[in-house]
Parts: sequence; C-alpha cells; structure tokens
Amino acid sequence: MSLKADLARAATQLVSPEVSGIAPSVSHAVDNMLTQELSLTNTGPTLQA
Amino acid sequence: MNDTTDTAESGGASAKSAFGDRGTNVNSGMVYGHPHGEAIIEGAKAIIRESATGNKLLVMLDKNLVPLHIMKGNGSNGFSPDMGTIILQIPSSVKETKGDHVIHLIKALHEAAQERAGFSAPNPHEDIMAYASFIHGRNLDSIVEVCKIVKELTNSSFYSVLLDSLKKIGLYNVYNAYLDGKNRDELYTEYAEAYETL
Repeated sequence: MSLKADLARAATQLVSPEVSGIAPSVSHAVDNMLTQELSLTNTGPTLQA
Repeated sequence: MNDTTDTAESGGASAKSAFGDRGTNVNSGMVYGHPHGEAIIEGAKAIIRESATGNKLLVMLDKNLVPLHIMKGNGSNGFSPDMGTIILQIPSSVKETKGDHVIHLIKALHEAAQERAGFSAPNPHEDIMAYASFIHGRNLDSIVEVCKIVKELTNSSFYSVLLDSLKKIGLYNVYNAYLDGKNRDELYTEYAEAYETL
C-alpha cells in the first residue's frame, strides 16, 4: 500500500466519526450509476493485470 | 489497509506470491492468489445475487468495472482508491465462503461504485476534516448497502450466518438500527460506536 494511502488512513483514525461529522449520502447517485451500467449492452473495458 | 500476507504456503517449490500466478482470469479483472479464491468469491457472488440490490451491485464485477484481488493473508479488506482495486485477504486455510467474505465484498463493491460514480476523497493534507467527513460518510453509505442486502436475504439459508458475521465484525447494532428505520444521523451514531472495530 502506498505511503499516501497510509497517511490518509492515519488521518482518518486521528479524526473520529464523532468529531468529523458526516458527508451527505451519495447512495442515490451510486444507484443511478449502477442502473445506467445495467442498461448498457457492452461489456466494459478489458482490464489489464 | 493492512498488508499482513499469509506466507504459510509461500515457501514451497512453487513459491507463488500472495497474488498467485497473476495469470488466472486476468482479463476478467480477477486475480486469485488464494488457492480457493475463485470458489470463495463465486460462493459470495451467488449469495449476494439472491438479493435484488446485491444483484444490481454485482454489475461492478459482471462488467469488469473494478479489479478484484484475493490474497492469502490476515490483513484488512476493502477497496483501495489508490490502486482502483478491491483487495480481500483470506487465510490460506479457509476453503469456502464465509459470511464475512460476503459482507466485506458488498462493502468494497459499494465503495468502488462510489468512486466510479465520481465521488473521490478530498486531499487529506489540504483539509483533514473534509477528508474524514468524506471517508466516514462513504463508510456509512457502504454499510447501509450491506444492511439493505442482508435484510433482503432474510429468507436465505445463509441469513443466520450473515447475522453472526455482522456481530463478529461489529456491525450488528448498526443493522438493528437500520431494521428499526433509524435515520442517517442515528445510524451514524451506531457506526461511530462500532468504528474502532471496523
């Protein structure tokens, strides 16, 4: 895992949920994206290792 | 994410890495470094697919929208935004799908879906509070997705196993709050209490 990821994780652990509050839910937008993906007929890009 | 990999089987003649031969199902985005990784993931997908919400979420794997690496190990699991990859670490001795695999896969898939929908974390070095707020919000959204799918699996033969896993992971109180119809702020309170164990 990258140093950036480690630092970001440490930052989150320093700022507890009680202190930081919470961002608005994005679940509705995610659901719309999934619905759109389901409606598409192509199989998406081929991923490389 | 913890990178504690299980090296119990890495010292033999084959000397495979934690990522295995890296050649298996590469074009599908799946990398199985775990000897039973494919069977475990297929088992988890079959359970998730019994739920309408879960079936929809699985489009992320069905259409290869996010790579999934199953490693031998005991470290943490989840979606890595930096790598754009879901990583599940499972001890090499585990041979079949367990409830926590299902729960971790759902949560990671939803986190990956959030990223794909355009919701990326702000730079923690510019505004740590905004970053933490985003991460905790993302976690809660993904946990609510877990709750929704588990609830839809109430009639599944795997339901009691999932409940036991929610207890083990520390999300049982969040799930009960979800079943009670608690609002986002109330669910967040339960999440905050469970956070140390997540």
